[in-house]
Amino acid sequence: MDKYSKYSPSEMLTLLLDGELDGDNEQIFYDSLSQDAGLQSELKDQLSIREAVRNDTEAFTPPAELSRAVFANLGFGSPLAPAPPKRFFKRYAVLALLLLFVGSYLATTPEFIFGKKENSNALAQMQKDGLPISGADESQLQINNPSIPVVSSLENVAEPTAKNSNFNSQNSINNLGEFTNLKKNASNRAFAQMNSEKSNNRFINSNIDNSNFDDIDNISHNNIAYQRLNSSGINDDENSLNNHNAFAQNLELSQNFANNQFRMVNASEYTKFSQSFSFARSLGESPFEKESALPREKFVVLRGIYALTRAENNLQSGVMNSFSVGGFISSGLARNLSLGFEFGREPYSQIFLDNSNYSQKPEILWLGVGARYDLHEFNLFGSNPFAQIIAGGSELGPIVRTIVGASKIYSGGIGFNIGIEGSSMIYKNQNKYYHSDKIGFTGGLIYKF
Amino acid sequence: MKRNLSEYTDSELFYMLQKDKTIAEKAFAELYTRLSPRIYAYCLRFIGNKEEAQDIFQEAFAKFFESAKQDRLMTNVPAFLLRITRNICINFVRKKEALLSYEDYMAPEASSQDSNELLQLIKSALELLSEDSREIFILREYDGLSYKDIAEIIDEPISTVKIRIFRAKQKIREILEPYLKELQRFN
Repeated sequence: MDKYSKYSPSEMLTLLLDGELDGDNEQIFYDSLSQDAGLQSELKDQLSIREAVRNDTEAFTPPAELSRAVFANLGFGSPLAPAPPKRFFKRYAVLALLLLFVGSYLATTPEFIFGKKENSNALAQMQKDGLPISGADESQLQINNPSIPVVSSLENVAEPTAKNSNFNSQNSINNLGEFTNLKKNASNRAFAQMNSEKSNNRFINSNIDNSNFDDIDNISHNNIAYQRLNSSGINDDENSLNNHNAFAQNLELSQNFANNQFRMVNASEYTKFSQSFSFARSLGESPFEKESALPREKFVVLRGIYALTRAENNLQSGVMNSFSVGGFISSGLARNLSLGFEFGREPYSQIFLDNSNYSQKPEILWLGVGARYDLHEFNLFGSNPFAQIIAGGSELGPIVRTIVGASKIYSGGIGFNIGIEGSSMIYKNQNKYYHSDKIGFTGGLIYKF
Repeated sequence: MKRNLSEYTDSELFYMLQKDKTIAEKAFAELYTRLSPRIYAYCLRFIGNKEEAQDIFQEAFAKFFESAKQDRLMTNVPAFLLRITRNICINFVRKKEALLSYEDYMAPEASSQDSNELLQLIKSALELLSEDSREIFILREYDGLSYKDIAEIIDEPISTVKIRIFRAKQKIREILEPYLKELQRFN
């Protein structure tokens, strides 16, 4: 056959494999191949050699140090993702962030561990004002009434007997006369302080029924009446007996109140709920303010991300080398729903089928808009769960990101975010569409203003 | 407007190397990403010694960047860079041959990373080829260049390229024949 060609069958084989054989000779070659076992063997050998060369990855992969040297020699920055300057820190950044979050929480909420004596302020004020408190009374007050803040004001105190009469009309009547004298003669410092206390302490628990609230008021009024009677120097037996009866009644009410297993806290603007509330209870009956009372929030978020990536190459050169920044504002459309945007920079691995023609982008910029839902009604160790979804675009294609996590905000408006984040980016390479996915941990700062 | 550098042609990127540093750096990074595997393969398999190949590789890209500063029309950037690399390699080999014996120079470098036995044999066989045959085999099989591009780089007619490639492949197959027969027997 090859007598019609200027090439030998082996030459035609080489030309064919290199894509240099013309159509006429190609037909001649295939005719030869079908009849020549030696040529078939040679074809297998050449294909094996070519396959082995294709697998010579060492030859096709310049070391990263060499690439850096080339760029440095020209006065350029590294073409690769920058090596983390402090690998130790980066390696443990996630753990450090988590510990910081937990530590911050515990440091600011010691009652979570040790229990809080909210009434100690009232007791201290009584002592400061020189009000006589017996050791037994103090002990009882601490034990039986550990978490009842003083809720009183001049207006409330003006008619203590009306409330006291609910449970002890005789006490109220007996106290009334002395109380009138108190308004004229006794110092009002304690009242002023109590008034201030009230402004700082709020009852937030709507699960408390009216009778409970009445009980609380009664306790407060009776406490005050008891204090004032003592401080006015009225010590006749009748008053003393009546006042002690009132105090005993207070203790009983305190016990009843404690049985309800509610603890009142000095609530900040962002944590207006009982910290010992069970999840089921909080879900069933919201203990919070009405929606209209919630502040319209604006907040910014700075997050770091550590995630594993799929496809096969992990370009994450270190922990937390990816960052994003976002801003949100309460939507006004629905309770707890905020709308906003985020942008960031992070690596996504990409697939390349043809090593001779590809481009890899170790760091990809992305931008998206989306929504965030903060579940204020749900409390987990002082933090609120949230879910967020962002959709947008990147340098290579569309991107979707979702986060489920928790955030804790302090009274200054600054706080922490932690959660699990998943994302997926679609990109086109060498005329094929792929998706690169990541899942991992995210954590960072949040600031509400 | 093109969105990212990956959409530019090699020639457009080469032209951007003449611009200010920020643009030049990005263009160079993109060209480096595209071309460095081929250049490194050429250096490593042609020279055979990793450290020496890396020195040549670095020098080649430095000269390539300097050349880009001159105002010239560039239609085939990979071939241009390979020609620069080839010149450095050939000069290096000439100087080294004058200093070392052939055996010293051609002593194969041990590599613990090669798990593919056939690949290891090919690398050994490459070092047994003549300089011309080795080079043309690398340009064709490693760098995937067409006969026309190879002819342009080595400054020879295509007919000569065809003959050299054929001879180089035959030589490689001849060296590897015992192993290839065993391979076919088990397959």
